[in-house]
Amino acid sequence: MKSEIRYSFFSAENPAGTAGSVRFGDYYVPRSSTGVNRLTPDPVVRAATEYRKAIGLGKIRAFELLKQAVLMDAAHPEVFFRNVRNAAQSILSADYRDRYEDAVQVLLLLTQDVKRLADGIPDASEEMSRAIVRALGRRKELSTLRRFVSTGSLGFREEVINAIDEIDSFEARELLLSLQSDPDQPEVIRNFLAELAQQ
Amino acid sequence: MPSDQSTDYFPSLEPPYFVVEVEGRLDFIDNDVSVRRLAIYGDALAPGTDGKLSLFRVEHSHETAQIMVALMFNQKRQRSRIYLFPILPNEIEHLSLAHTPDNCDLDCKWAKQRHWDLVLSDTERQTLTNTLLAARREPGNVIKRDKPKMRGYRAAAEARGCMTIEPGSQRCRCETEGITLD
Repeated sequence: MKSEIRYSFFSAENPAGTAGSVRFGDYYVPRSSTGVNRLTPDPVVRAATEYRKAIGLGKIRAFELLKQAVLMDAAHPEVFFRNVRNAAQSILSADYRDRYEDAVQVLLLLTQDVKRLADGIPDASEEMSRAIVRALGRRKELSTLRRFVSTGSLGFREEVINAIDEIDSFEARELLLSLQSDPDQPEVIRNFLAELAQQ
Repeated sequence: MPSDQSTDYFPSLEPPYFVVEVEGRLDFIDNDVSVRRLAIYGDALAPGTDGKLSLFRVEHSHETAQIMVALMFNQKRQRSRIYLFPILPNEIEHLSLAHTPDNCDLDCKWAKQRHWDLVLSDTERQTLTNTLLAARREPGNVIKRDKPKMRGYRAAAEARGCMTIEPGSQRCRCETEGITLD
């Protein structure tokens, strides 16, 4: 596994900081003077966890801390988007009810360029892919969503169709109508489109 | 609630039953693989941040519409769509189930009265998942906020002075005439 030395904003007098620590994936392994290494979560993951737990007005403060963590060493766009994905994935990995909505909010608030996140859908987890699709729908990115109408699991396609349906433009309705009459679409998808049209 | 607003959201089930909000519907039939169904039922039974699963008890089928209104138009949530998943009382009544109208952040006082909390251990969750799997239980159809059907439910709720639509409303009929839709 590739490791990297990271420089921390914690001072040398603060042994709890991550100065001189080695990063493994989402975790730092601090260099301890006692020789005992402790696993410390990545700041982005840690801040995302705090955001997930926060309620009410605490959510606003927690989001500010999450934003700082995402931007901390994100001079390069690749690093920035990796941090955004890590933040959302960290929320999605938790076992609680509102994780999709929280993850979508984080994606939408952290970046205007949701289309760029869509480039990672083929390699992303199913949950992450669905959160990105939902964010694309909120941003009315029909042309990007169109790429995914015939890919992935049925659950993922359902998410894409829902996102397109929420755009509610003439083009979006035309696309849904064409999918409904497309014999190449699975029957369950065509039934789902018919159900939406009936409401 | 007027009869024209009734809903056959779960036509194959006879009330009473409990409903819980879930994320999607096609997941439940994806490839029709039992293992995947197990994972998704586990998802449907995921607790909230307080470790409890929020349920609403439905006594009559037409009440489902008001629960949808209460969940979808709640000012703190603003969901654009909703799916509900039914659980029968006999499937959970032996578990840690509590009537908790005060542990519900909805504005609708009627819906709050129907709110129950279920706390599941990992073993209980797995057992309930297996029960639902054996019953091949599936969520109801997607209902969307901006569709005519839902707008009809919303209008009916508004006519009753529903506090979900008008927070702080002084004319909520649930308040003045008791918690009832009839």
